[in-house]
Amino acid sequence: MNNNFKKFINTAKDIKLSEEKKGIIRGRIIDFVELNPLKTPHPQPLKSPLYVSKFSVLNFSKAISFALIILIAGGSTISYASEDTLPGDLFYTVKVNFTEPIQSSLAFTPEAKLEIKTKQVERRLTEAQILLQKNDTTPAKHAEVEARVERKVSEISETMTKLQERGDVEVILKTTSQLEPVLQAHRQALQEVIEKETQTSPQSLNSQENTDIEPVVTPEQLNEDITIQEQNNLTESTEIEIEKSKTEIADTLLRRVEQSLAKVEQQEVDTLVKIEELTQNGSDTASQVATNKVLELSKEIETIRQTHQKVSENQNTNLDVIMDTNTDIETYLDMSITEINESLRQDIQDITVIEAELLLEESKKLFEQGFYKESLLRAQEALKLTGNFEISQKLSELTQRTVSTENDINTTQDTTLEPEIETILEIENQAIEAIESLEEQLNIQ
Amino acid sequence: MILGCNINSLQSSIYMSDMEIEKIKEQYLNHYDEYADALYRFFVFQTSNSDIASDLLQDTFMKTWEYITQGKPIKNLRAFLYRVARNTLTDYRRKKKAHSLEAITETGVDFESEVDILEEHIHKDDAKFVLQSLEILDEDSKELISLRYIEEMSIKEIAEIMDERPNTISVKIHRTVEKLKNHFHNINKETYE
Repeated sequence: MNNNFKKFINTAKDIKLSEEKKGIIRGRIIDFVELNPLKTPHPQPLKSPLYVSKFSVLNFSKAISFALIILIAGGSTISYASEDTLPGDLFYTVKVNFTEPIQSSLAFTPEAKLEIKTKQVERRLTEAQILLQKNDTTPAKHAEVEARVERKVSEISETMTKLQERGDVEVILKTTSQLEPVLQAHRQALQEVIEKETQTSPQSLNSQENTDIEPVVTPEQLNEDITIQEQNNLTESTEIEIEKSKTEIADTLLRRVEQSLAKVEQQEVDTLVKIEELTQNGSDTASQVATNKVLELSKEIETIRQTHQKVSENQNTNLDVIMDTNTDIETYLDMSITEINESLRQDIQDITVIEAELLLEESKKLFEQGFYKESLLRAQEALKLTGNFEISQKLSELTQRTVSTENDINTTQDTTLEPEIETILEIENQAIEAIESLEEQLNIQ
Repeated sequence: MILGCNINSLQSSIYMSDMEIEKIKEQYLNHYDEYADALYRFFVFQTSNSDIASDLLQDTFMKTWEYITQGKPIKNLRAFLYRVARNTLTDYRRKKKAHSLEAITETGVDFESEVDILEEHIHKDDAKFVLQSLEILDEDSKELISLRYIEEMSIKEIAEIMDERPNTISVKIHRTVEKLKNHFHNINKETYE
């Protein structure tokens, strides 16, 4: 019996799309895609979660500092004007040494402080990026450096945003405390680089006037190369720091996953035992479905374990995977054993009600098709599940009578079946009411 | 890839370069390569017809692309594709109903031709076995079996695609499997009687 089912499934699984057909359809889809271009200027990327704007962090800081200014400095506009400054700008020092520290101190809980700190670090990254953009002596080479930094920036920002959403306070704290000094140094160094640039320009004018010697490399070019070299070095060391932080984040999360997995396995065993208790007097379906649920959870956990295995062996850890894994497990763990058992109990009752409803649906369909006996049997099953024995018994009697009446009809064309049908309908209504009141008791919508 | 931004404005204004657009198109085609087989199988299961399944597959990917061109975000592309697939299937069935009377009177219910189509991949008797077994199920149940055992989706995923509660899906699947097992049991009885 079971073999047939497996055979059925395996046969069905063999159905495949031929390579040829697949290619033909692919071609048609390509044509379609070409004919229907993306309309809006910024559609969402397909695989990543909803896009989070990196720059919306500034809204927050701006609002805070604005409020701060009004309250404390009594209308001083300098702090406000310093908001968008970059290293080398006039009020940059005001931003970094005055406005930002006050922002952090305004936060009271560690989580809030953390949020502000993270945003400040993101700000440093952004400033570094923009500085590189501004520095446009040789656009081609700068574009390359810029692209590298930009990639790193988006990676680390994404990671930090996600960590924030999940409340991974401990991890972000570590990250930001590591990154900040690095990025501050980066900022300072870039500033020096810019100052050097502005100094070299007047020199280059002098060298051009000197036509006696024509060097292969002009002083101007030499300075340029040094600048780019310095920038490259700076960027490289920043990249290394960011990679280090990512590895640290990965390690911390991996360790947490391990701990979570151990806890979950214990709960799994306890849960299976509980199911048996709960379903001793209930329906078979409820027991089966509940068990399946726990088994499916086991499979999920097994998958998580395997992923965890792969990830801890692989140096290029994909933070997304680790973070998702962690969240999945922690969601499950968030419920204590009592809660899990309680939710199981509810599930089992829920399943019983669903089953009763489905049976009643079938009963009605059968009734419409004229299969009264079958219809009654179903309704009877439904009622048994809801535990309403009184009506169930009435139904049994009615079933008996219907059966014999149907036999009679075949032989005697008896019209006395009609009043019976009305009773059937009435009892069906009572069944519906019984189920509804049960639902209410369970507070299921 | 150039990210244009004006630090002085509170909102970011991101514009898409040609490279970005090409990347998205490429990604979409990769998704096609990834999911086309499974969706095709899903459609064959529901319609027992290879050509119709191909058409529905095409429609599904075109409709999904249309949605994407309107710039609306899609959180889970796989689930979205299956949703579109189910809707496409419903539309097809509605149209089919309107023409079904015609079709039956013209050609009669032709089991053999449907078997031929599946024969491309599997042995004829097996194909007949699959189709006959499918006949006893209603459309919802067919979809459930397909998603659960052939595409091997989790209850949660199926619940999301069909927009129902996980418990409801569990019970329905359980009952459908019982029905099939009973069916096979009866077939065996017949074979020996």
